[in-house]
Amino acid sequence: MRRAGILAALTGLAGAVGFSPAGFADEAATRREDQLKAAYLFNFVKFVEWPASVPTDVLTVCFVGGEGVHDALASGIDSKRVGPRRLAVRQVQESASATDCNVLYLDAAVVPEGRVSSQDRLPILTVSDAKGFARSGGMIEVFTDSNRLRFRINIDNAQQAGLRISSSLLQLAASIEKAGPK
Amino acid sequence: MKTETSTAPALKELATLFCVLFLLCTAAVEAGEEKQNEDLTSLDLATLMQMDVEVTTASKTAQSIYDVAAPIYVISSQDIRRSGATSIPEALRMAPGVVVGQIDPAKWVVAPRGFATQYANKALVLLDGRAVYTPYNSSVYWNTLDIPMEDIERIEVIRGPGDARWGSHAVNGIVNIITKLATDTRGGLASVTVDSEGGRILSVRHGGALSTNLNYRAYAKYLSQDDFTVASGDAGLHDRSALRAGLRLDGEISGGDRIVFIGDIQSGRDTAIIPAQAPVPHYDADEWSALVRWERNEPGRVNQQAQLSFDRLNQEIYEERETLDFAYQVQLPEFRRNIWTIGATYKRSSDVTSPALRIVPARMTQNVYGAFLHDRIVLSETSQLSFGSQFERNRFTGWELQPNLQFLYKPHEQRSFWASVSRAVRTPLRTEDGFNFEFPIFPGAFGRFVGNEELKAERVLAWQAGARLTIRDDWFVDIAAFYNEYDDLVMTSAGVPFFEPLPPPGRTIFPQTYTNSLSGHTRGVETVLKGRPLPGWDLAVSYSLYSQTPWSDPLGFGSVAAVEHQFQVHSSAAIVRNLEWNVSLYYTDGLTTGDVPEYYKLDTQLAWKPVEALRLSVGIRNALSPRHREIGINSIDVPTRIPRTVYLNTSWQI
Repeated sequence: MRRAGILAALTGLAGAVGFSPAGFADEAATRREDQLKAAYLFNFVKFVEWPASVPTDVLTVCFVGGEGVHDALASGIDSKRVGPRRLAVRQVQESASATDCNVLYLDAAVVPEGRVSSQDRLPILTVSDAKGFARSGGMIEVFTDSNRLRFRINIDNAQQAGLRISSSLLQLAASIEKAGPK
Repeated sequence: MKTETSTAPALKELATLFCVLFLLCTAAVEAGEEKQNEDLTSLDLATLMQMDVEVTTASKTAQSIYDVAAPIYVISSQDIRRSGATSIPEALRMAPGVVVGQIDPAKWVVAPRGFATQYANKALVLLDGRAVYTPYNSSVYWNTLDIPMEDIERIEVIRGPGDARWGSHAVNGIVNIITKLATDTRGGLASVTVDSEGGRILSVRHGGALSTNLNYRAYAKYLSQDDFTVASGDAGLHDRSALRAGLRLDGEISGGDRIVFIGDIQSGRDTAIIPAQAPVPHYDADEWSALVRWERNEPGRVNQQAQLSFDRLNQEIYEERETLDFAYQVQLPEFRRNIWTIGATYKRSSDVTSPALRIVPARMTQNVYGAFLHDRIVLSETSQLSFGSQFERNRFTGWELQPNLQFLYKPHEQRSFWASVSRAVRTPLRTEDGFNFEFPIFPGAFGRFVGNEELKAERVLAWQAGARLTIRDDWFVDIAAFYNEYDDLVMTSAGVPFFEPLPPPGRTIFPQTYTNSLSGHTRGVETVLKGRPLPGWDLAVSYSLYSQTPWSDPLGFGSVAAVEHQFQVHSSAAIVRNLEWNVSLYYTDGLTTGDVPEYYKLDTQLAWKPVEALRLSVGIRNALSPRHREIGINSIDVPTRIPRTVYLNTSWQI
């Protein structure tokens, strides 16, 4: 009987409610999502060939927004290699100033819906988690489906920029998009 | 046989243990490096695509393992592959705090936290959300659950009573078996396993997209197994064979709603001997089931889930049973720090028991109605409190209440401490409620099991605490301690013998009535250490300690056996590219009843992937002992010895 009493008292205490910040489980989930996106980004880079005119002793990945993904990719970057090439990450303010980047990651929040500039055919791999990115001017769109991270590739946009995407990566894509609005 | 227990020592014990754990863990972490990020960039894309964005699914909603205020162990599909386990009970050996013993090719005992008797009846086993234990004796017919092991996504083993959202019957633990989504099993897979004890398994499966938002997976599986030898050295007679097929559909409808359909059918034939009667040459073990589930999950909104399942079972030697199960739950968005989940369940179970078993009445339909309430309160950025209760009405004991309280403290993303107290019940079995089964003692005298309609439900009050943390980025530690107080445990007690004149010449009956005659307590600790000592080498070590009030049943039937120490080491090493060497060593202490001595089990496997689509493995199970017994027998079954087996498996993706 005493046991039941203690249980009841503890439960009564639990009923007292106060003011609250956001649920903390969400933070852990976002962190992990960023880490997964960074890992995907790293893998994408391994399967893409830039035109011969582009010096690629160092592959530069630029971020517009997406600080979480930037940080996840930046940690331990000295040990990361794509073949013989090193990796560098940079945070930029806007995509227009990304001319010396090899890869451009655009956070969904900074991509205006329906309008994705195709980087004037510069040989820059564009990746984003914005909805519909691959159907407009983007090259690789990352999205979540059934608790897994997936990606779509717009092969025409990549080809027009002079990039060659390996068939191994195309096989793993959830879907391949062609053409799209200019 | 009542033993005195009191609250104060239990609380003190637990509080001290909790403080010690906390101090130890904080010390360990301060001593080590503190790296926040898990580096996933070393993994290839194919592996990354199999990873969940949110880590585990416990309490039926996705959450990180550090957010679970219960002792949970997750067996991944990779663990299953490396262990070479060809059935679910074999895979469950990897969970700490659980005794798994094989009786014969068709029967296993899976007993979390003690009560390791043949009819272990204190665990809730769920297959994709559908409860698969039978109210006949509350255990699981593992021989009708032969799903292809390659289709299992993971198995979550939670020891102790779960919280209110899991449902009832989880007195000592929950085994939550989750199969892969159809979207994750596209393409074809063929798998063949043969072994030196006459075991053969062939399974094929194919998955694909029927349309943009609808995916399917269909499979067929055949298995056959010769029996092991019995204690006397003769060949056993528990040969079995089964054919199974199934279909899974995963669909997404507009608005983000998800629908799942899972249908399975299995037809099997097992042989058996029941010594008291003429040997039964064979019996059928068939089952078919269908499950439909609808989910709507959007962060920040009302999340709902409804599931309807139907199951028809024919375990010819025991019973035929039809089960209809409906469950609905809704999770409300966070309001003033509270996240409420409410649910309702209905289960209808009809059976026709085998006349040889003399259950009274031979046919019964049970309706069980239930509801639950659960609240999770975020107290601060690092702590939360959950409480709730399950309410259920059953035919034998009326309404039962199962409240639960949990506390979680998570100072860091990969470090958490938890404590909980829960009450759980186990309602009477068909055998305990009405039974009339006789067995001979000596000429002219028979023992008779007598059911008891007035039987109350068994109760447990479980006090638990634990800690979970990642050390130095590569190592994971999980410690859980428990103290269970049991009341009204059902045992048979001898009644006054009487003489029955009819049929002539009459005989003496020694009745054994089921009564709620036992109380006592159990306590223990389960520890897990997992890590990567070197790149390409995964290591897992676990140790489980258990102790119980000495309790026993005078006649020896239903003696409460337990295993006090269990220890396991699992090693998986990538020897060279595409070649993996897996070793598992298990130590299981002898049964406290003395029936079965301690034993070591060593399993080893060499796996080769010459190309991505092909996996070949050769392995040995029970390498150390040619034949050993694993579990006590409390019935008239004939105990068999589990042999050393060499096996070969080929798995080919088409």
